[in-house]
Amino acid sequence: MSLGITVSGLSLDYGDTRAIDDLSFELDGGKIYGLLGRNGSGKTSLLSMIAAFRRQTAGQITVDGNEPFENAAVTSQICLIRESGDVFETDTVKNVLKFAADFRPYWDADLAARLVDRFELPLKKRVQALSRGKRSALGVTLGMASRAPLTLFDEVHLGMDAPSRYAFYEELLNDYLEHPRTIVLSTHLIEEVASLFEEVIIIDRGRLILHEPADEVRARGVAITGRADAVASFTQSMDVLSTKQLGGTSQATVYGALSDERRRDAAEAGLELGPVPLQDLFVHLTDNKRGDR
Amino acid sequence: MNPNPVTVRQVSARLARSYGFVAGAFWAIMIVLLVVVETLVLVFADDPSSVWQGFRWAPQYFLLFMGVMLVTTYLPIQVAHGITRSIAIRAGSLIAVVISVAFAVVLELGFLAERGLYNALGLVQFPDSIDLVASPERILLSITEFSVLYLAYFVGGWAIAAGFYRFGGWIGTLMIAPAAAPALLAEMSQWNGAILGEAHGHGQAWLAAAVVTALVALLWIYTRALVRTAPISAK
Repeated sequence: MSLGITVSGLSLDYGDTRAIDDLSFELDGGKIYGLLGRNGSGKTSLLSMIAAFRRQTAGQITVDGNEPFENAAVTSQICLIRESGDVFETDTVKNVLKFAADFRPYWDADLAARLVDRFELPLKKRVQALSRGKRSALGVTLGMASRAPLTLFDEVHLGMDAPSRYAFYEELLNDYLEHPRTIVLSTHLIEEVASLFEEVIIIDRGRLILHEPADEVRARGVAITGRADAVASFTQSMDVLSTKQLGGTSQATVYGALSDERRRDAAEAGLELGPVPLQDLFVHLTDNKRGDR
Repeated sequence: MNPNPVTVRQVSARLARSYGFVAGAFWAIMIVLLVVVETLVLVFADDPSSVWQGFRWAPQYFLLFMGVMLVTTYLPIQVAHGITRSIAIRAGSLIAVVISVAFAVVLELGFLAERGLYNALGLVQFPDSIDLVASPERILLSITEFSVLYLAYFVGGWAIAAGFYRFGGWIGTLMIAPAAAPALLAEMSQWNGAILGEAHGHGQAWLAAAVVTALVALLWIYTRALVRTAPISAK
């Protein structure tokens, strides 16, 4: 079971500050989405409204066609895991898992036990005594073992060390393949997790910048490598995001897809064309100083 | 798999377990302290009187704290686990009533146990104040009075915490006064009720309990309005 999300004209104000500004998009169920945005772009606010943690100022959110706020039938299907953690600080890890097992209708105790083992979570230790990495691992365990049809991870894995993060990505993908559901991952570690995304949503200053399949987003940019003078000449009239040079060879990252004719030109000039990291495109798309996107 | 949403019963049961454990620890400490202080009073005091009477203040502040915890500790975690605020409020309300009555009953049982001890030693338990265990009717009135008093404190704590949670420091502080009003009135009526109870029967005390209950109900409506739409902020 997986749930789709429809957001229409959504706005959220914190006093005089508009955190989400007339946001509209539609997410199909049964996919892994990457929610990207700079600090303060409104990612957490958006996820909080989808998970019924807070009510919007204007507009509408529906999850599987229903408003989630104060709708028990919907909220029981949604699991939002935030970096701050929403668990009893003075409880032991074991009790925190027990609490989740009591209230999460799709809770998988076997998966929870396996993740506890993999992340080496100390069951008898109190949450407040856990390191930041272990707290993150506990959040990941709660989110995955909940098997909620709509699972939202908000920067939850930032505190984990690299091996633990890669373990999380592996476990998430494997479990998703066995139990397809809608997963939204909000993260700043874009390159690490980019291969998981089927679609990418980029928001900035509360507005939607982009919502496209991840492959299409990647096709928006090209890395051009070759002799420095040839690269400079080829990219003269293009939107160059960055340039690296090593000896006589340079690599330019450009924004914008290349036509077949331009690709032929590149080949004739002895230039190699490659994919652009999603992170570079994200930086470009959310660079407010550039203005025009 | 059980895809059914969480029920008030489930949430109440979880709260009861959690609060029951803390309340059990509280009363265990109270009883140990009572035994120690009662022994000292009976051995050293010239005219010993009810020690448990002096202990009656502690439960109300403990229940105020429990009411606060419903918002500060439980609400964010409940919502994060898919429980709606509405269900959390209903479960919290049920627990508030049950625990207030239970505390009042335990308090009264304490007076009864102390009465047995004082009778055995030939002492007077309440030489200067109203006899809280004088008759079955007085016991019932006392349980009612203390239940209402404790409920006023519990809901008062809940309302104060909800005020701070929704409005922050300044308005939250201002809202302490109306939130504490039913509890203060319950205190006053209990003292006056005791005097009037001796002079004019128990009617006045029952009336006071009814008035305080009505005020607690109003306070509950205010609390519910705040909690029902409360945003769950990150820590």
